[in-house]
Amino acid sequence: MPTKPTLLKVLDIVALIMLGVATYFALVKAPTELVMGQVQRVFYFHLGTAWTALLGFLFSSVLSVIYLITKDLRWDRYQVAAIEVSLVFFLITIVLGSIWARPAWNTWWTWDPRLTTAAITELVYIAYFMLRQGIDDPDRRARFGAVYALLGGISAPITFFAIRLYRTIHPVVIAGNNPEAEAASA
Amino acid sequence: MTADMRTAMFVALFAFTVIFIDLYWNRIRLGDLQDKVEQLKLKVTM
Repeated sequence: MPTKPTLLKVLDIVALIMLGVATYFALVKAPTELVMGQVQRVFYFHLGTAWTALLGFLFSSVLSVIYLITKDLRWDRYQVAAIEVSLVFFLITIVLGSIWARPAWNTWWTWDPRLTTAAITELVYIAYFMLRQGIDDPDRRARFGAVYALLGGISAPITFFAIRLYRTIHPVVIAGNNPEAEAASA
Repeated sequence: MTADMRTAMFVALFAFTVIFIDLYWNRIRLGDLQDKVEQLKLKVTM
């Protein structure tokens, strides 16, 4: 059995350390927010997972295009891996958002444009794996999967821009001019 | 948003990007190993 590359072993350790550092910054270094209190600390993990998940979905669309051009199954494997990891990250985003929403909005869930588009994105990529499960031929499965992932990739920017395009109660933190999203520290 | 809050936000963004890349690489490696196992299985049955 081939051994794990040294660079990957190093990356494993760096990832673990970075998780610890991010947790320290979020729970200890960052001051307590005046209005929302301790629950605001969820935001640091919520944003981190959301950002990487949405970029991962977009990345999988790029891999789909490469597969459709080259027809090399290696790119299909890369695309599946990107969607799998992104799907888990995005599920964590939704769960963390819900935990934050309970004290902030007095509800676990509301059909706000951002939450609705996020739920649709998650379901689109769950359906992607259901589609793949239903096709036995590897080439056909890869081709259908690539086209589906390419179209599904549209849901990522829609989710990202939903809070800028529609009336929403979700805070706009990055590149937003919403003063309600500007946190104040204790 | 205070400077410490902004720092925590960017540290979290960087940390989760590193974690994503690490998990992604591990998942690709797992996929490659699965393929090798399948090929070896075919060789054994032939």
